[in-house]
Amino acid sequence: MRVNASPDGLAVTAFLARVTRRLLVLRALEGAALGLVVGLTTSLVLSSPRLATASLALGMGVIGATGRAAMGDRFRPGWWRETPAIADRVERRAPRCRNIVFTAAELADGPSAAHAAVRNRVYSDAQRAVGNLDPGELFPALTPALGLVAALLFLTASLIWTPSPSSTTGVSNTETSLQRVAIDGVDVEVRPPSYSGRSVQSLVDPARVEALAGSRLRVRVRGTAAAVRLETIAGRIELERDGNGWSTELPATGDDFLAIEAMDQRGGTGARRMVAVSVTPDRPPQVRITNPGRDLFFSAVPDSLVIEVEADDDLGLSSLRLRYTSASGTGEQFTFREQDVPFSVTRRDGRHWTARAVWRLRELRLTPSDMVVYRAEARDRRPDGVPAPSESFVIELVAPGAFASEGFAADDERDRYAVSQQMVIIKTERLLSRRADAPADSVAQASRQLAAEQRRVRAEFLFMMGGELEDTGDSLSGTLLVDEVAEAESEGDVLAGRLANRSRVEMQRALRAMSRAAAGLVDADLERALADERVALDNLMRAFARSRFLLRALTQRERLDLNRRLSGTLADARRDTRDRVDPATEPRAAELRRILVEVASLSARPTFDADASRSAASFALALMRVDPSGDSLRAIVTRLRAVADSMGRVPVARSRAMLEQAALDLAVVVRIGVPVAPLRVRSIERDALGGALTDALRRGKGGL
Amino acid sequence: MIPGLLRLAAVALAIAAWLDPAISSARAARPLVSVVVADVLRDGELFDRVVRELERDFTVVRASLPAADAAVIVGTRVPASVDDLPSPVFAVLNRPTEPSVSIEAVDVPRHAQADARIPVVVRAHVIGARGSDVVFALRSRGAPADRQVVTMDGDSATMETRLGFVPGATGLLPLEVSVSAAGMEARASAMTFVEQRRWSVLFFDARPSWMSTFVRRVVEGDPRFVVTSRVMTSRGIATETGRPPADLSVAGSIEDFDAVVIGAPEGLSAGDVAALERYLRGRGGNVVLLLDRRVAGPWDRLGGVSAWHGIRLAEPTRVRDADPGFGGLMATTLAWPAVLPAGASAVAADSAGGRPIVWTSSVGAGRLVVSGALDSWHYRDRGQSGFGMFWTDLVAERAAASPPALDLRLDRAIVGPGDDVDLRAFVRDLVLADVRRGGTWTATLSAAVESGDGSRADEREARPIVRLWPEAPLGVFSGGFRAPDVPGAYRVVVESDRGRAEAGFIVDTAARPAAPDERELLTAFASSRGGSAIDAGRLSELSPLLRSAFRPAPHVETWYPMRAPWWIVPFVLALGGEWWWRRRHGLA
Repeated sequence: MRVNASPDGLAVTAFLARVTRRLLVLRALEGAALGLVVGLTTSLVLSSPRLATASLALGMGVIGATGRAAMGDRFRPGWWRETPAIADRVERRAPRCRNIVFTAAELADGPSAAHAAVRNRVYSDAQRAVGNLDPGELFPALTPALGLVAALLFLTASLIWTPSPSSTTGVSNTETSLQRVAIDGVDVEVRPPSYSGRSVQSLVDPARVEALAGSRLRVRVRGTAAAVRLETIAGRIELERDGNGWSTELPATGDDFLAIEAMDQRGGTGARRMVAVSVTPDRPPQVRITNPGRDLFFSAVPDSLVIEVEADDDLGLSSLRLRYTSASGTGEQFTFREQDVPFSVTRRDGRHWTARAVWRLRELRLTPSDMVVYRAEARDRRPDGVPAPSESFVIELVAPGAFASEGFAADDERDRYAVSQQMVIIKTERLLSRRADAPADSVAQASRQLAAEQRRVRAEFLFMMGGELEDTGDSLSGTLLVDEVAEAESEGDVLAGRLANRSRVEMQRALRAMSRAAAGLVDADLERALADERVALDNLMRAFARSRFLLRALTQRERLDLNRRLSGTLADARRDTRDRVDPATEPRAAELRRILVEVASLSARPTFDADASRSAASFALALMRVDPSGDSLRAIVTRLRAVADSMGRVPVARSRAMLEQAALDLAVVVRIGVPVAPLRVRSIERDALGGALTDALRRGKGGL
Repeated sequence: MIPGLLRLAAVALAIAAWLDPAISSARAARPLVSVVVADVLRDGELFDRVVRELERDFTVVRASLPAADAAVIVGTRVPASVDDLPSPVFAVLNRPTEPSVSIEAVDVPRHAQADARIPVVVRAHVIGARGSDVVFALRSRGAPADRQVVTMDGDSATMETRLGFVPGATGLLPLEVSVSAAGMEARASAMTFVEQRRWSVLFFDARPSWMSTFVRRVVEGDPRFVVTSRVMTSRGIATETGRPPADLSVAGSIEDFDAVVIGAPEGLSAGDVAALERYLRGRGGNVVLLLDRRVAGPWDRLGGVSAWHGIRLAEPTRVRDADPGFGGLMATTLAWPAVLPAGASAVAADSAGGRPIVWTSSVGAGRLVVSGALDSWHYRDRGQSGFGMFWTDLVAERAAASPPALDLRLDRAIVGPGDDVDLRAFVRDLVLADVRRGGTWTATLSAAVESGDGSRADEREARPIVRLWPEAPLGVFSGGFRAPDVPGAYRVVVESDRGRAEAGFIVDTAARPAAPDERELLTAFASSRGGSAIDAGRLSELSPLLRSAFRPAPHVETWYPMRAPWWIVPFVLALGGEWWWRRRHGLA
């Protein structure tokens, strides 16, 4: 704007400049308000988190203000330099100026042929006209300012109600309610039982908790929710409000899981966390009598006997005792006495103890046929723990020439039955020692007699076990085998789990070893026979480790069942028709297959929304329910949880890849134990042709 | 003079046009060559090159044309339309690009049970991926089902991998196999039909037998079987499960069983053995004989064994099957044929002597399996042997091979929209009938194509019902139809008075079956049809080879010169010239 150095002209020009600045400010305010609104709307549509919302809105506000100010009302950049246009706007707002301001602006804006007097007159009139004008009144700022304030309020409200980034999966704009529900963290405090001496363990956001049985788990959840629910194998509970979080305490009794769900006020569930709980049981103490560590048979009572004991525990021992029970008397007049043997204990540390006792046996005043059973007992620090016994051993004062039958209560006719496995071993050793000096046929004869004794011992045990006495025609090969027919007949008991007894298994192994030993003795292969006899003895010892009495090892259900003896009258025989029993579908396998189908279907979805995230989390929970402690499933559960947590925050392809890997891993588990379908393609033509060829070949050879 | 000549020429042309004279001549025609390709996706580029090369000298038809002078097959596979090709036949073999991955075969059961793991055997050829991980992946209905990684040792190799999965649903199940290595990938489609059907198995013991008892128990524990049993415990006394026939010799008493397992076969009567033979020959059934002692009897007639050997070992020996699909047995007492009967083969042999302890033989269309592992039941513990797996797999294989009353087979399971599909239906009674005895056989069949949801595709697309025609031999019916245009899973359902049969196929433009490398077969085929096979690098030699392979016969060709419009030109020139001449000389 070029203006001659007329004071009136300068005044008009200054006025128009003020108007221009005001208009610029007003346009900027309008633009900022509009930009804020547009930015906020876009942010709501995109369900952006708080920071993104603020950034977008403010950015759009700045862009709107700058753009609106720059472009003006007619979208013409530089409009503020067009003084006549500014003057025209003044004239429109103040008609009383009667166009004199516009004329002055026109004259001042460019070269003019107007006479100086005329120009001065115009400037003078214009100055008078604008002297009474206030740019604030001409162009009020109230409306743009209110718009801007409203937009700012809108922004503030949006920021308040927009969830924080950690609580949203950011996958759906229809989940605004659930997006306000979030789990920020899970703290688990593991308090081991006081007797364990272990310290309290605090874990933050653990994926897995390892605890000693009997521990207390204090679970504290931080986050935003109306309520928080915890699911374990035992069921669901709602956590109690605890300051700015929720908490509960529960015992660790076995392998479990913690599925934590945040809920809104309507009961809808949002984010979910899962924690696997692995519980280690408190192992009972292990106690062993290391010296003498075997049964003792005396013909005369020694003065003393040195006994040494070792005990250890995974956490710590609290007591160690050496106890004995003496039985004396004859016939049915027996006296039992139970007492402790004093000994000295050496504590290497809290978990490993040793003890030594010098037992004055003479003080027991044993008489022939009296028996003493002794054992050590150790306790750990568990308040409710029961003493753990060692293997019991026998001290027997025997009558001259008599030996106890090992492992079971012997018949009174000792000459007939009391040939123990130990005796067979001793006799075999003796025969071995004199083999070099004796004639070969004599050794073979003695060996065959020993074989007969071995078979008698074996038969005795077989009878005691309720099995059939083996009596096969082939004496050479028959002793090689346990009576498979008897074993087959007990197959039903095996299937029903009634024979799932360690002692029973050891007894069977002893019987088999005895069979091999007898075969070796028949062949006069004394070394092999002796080895098998010792194996049989070891198995017998293990079979009766907890009790020296066979009848205590047999359960009530293992009594001889006369109904299985196939005895009866022929007239009672009749046709037996049984219903067909379909194989039961294993619930675990069926559930795993169902989950596999679901996971595979989920992975095939084109997109993953909040519902997909919840589905993945629910599959993880379902797998945990199937097998909380299974190592094979644990990795899959972890993967599914990771997918559920990351859905929406990571690209869809990555979520899909993780889901597919989980499905593949689960497919491997599902395949275990499932029979394979035949691959061969049937063809009646091929089969008929093959049959015709076979017939032709056989006809040629005089066959069919 | 000149005007007269011009006038005369014009008149002559007009007369000739009115007469329309025909002219015949003998000439050598341009030879016609039919060029076909089996795998357009893989060999399409070479196909185009071959066509361009031949079009200079020959008229090329891009399809099978029996009337052509010669045929050229492009690629590495024999096309389906090979029967329509004329002779001689030449083949242009596509050289494998390097590096490359191709899937040569995908073997999957046509039908599988829902309670079984479905094996998918994939054979792929990989070139130029030394040291790379070759990833075999299987997808079922788009979802991942199995994945295995094999590291390649050499530069190129043909690798075979067994994938598998447990189906999650029944019905038609499209499968997709992919093999990828060193950034390359090949895909192939396959299909299987998952059913809830269970095999029906009869156990028939002429006396109580532990061997049969324990085999029965493992089969009973397998959800794929429905077991019916009859154990003769004494004279007139039996223990039964289900509704077994009281007597094998009653006609039709065992027809419905997919397999029959006989315990203590030495106790079978001659009538029982005759019934089993009828079951084997007339029904195409499967009989498993479980020996627990070697005693002669009428049953010897079934196997055709004249002499047996036996042994009792001090220590149990392992009896392994030749096919790694079964587990192994353990036994000490063994019996085996002194000479394996003609046509018989070993199923499992003992590891010590290689003797055929479990063997099989055809009896008519049926199959007989005989086990001489007499005391293998002693060693049935899972830790000792694969007793359970051996017998369940063996009985399953035999039961699966049992022909149904009506069977159906399609030539392809993966087709494109509008492709021709051939089908064959087999009526078991008729196929296995003894035609030498004479008689009259009738069968009524109807076939239709249904979509996967059960609606008839022909109703939706106005397609005719599939027509089946009897062909030789007796009992075989064949037909064909065009695949629907709408991609999806479809079933062909054939119904007859003998039963119902279904087969599935998938219409998919993107799906492609495995592409086996049939170079050797193509070379032999071309040689047998008077041609030869050349490598794609020698494409320039193809035209000379074709020209030398046949001499195009000259043929008489008739043409009509006045039917061409060009005669108008001389006609007008003659008339115009005559007029111009007369004007020039002032005559007009």
